Amino acid sequence: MYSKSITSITFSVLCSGIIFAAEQAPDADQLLRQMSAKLAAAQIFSFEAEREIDATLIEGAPAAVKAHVSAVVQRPNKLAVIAKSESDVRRFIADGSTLTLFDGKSNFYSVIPMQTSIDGLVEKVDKVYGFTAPLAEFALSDPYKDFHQHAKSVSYLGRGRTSHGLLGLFGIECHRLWLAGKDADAELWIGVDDQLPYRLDATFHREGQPKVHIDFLKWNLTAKVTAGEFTFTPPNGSQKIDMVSSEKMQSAGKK
Amino acid sequence: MKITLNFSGILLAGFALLISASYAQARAYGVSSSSAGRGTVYHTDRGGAAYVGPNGAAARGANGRAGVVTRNGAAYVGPNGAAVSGRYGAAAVGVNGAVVVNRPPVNYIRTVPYGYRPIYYGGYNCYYYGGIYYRPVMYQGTTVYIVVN
Repeated sequence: MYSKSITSITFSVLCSGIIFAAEQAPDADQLLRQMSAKLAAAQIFSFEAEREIDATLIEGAPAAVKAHVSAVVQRPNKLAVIAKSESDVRRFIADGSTLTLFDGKSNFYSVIPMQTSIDGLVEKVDKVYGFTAPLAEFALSDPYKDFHQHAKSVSYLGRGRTSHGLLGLFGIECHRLWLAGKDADAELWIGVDDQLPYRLDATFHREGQPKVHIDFLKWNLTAKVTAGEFTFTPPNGSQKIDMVSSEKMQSAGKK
Repeated sequence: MKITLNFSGILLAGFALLISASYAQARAYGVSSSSAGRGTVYHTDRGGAAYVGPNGAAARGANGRAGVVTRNGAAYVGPNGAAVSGRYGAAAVGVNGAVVVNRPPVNYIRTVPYGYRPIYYGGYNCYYYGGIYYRPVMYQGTTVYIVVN
């Protein structure tokens, strides 16, 4: 009798624990909404990140490309990104009327008309010119919508701590979300305290399962910027060249 | 002759499919729809180039010769043939015949062959090497060199 009671109590405690845990699991989609709303609300902000992309995701790359990316955003239409890798420096500057792309390795740059918002820029550059500004997706006016274009479902994995600082001493407690998509699956880490993204690991459904890994190092949602941030001054010896659209290059190849 | 022309068309169409197999992909996580899963182009200092992608591989040597490999066969995009492309054209050999096409499928390179010299040509600042002019342009976010002639 005594034994039965103990068993019954233990079972009840376990069940209530499971129910309690299930109730406590945060709503993954709601966390994604919160992160997106926070980014969308910031009118002028900056961030830094380390990004690594497998070679098969970048045409012309002989090996995975690791770069330190610094971005300054001024909504609705200004964006300045510098991506520094071991062998190259790229600058990507949109000032609301033009887009300048500077290839530091070759010392060439291109300027094209771009009188559109950051959203319009990301779409046009991708569709017409076949590339994306590094991490520009986090500067879109509605990141939630953009994430859901890639992800069919969002679920909660649990918590994790980033490895910021020496030996991870300044690690940031994050919610880990799983975004399952048609082209790629991704794990997104969102800060528990500030609702900002801190890590993204995307694995593409391609041969070799190529990956994109992003560690966000710093966010400043109250950044102060000057007009100079979005002004490109060609370095000495640099040369202006044309930017060719994907369609033009493909049609040239067929002639 | 009829067989020859058919193979020519198949060769070009096959190569186009190999290179552009994933154009329909959506932009995702910072990877452009044009580059996601397209594979990688490798270049050598001597002017050779090779492409390795999810649907096959292609190579072009410094001497101008090129080959294509797919999952279905070697040195050809189709299941039953072989192809090489040269500086002045391309040739394909299949079980039913052979073909010659008069233009290489790749019209730009990522590295100008070592030993080039800068030259103004056709209204543009170009590079000249081995009888070929290369014009620098920005393409898909990086510098490439269009083979002018």
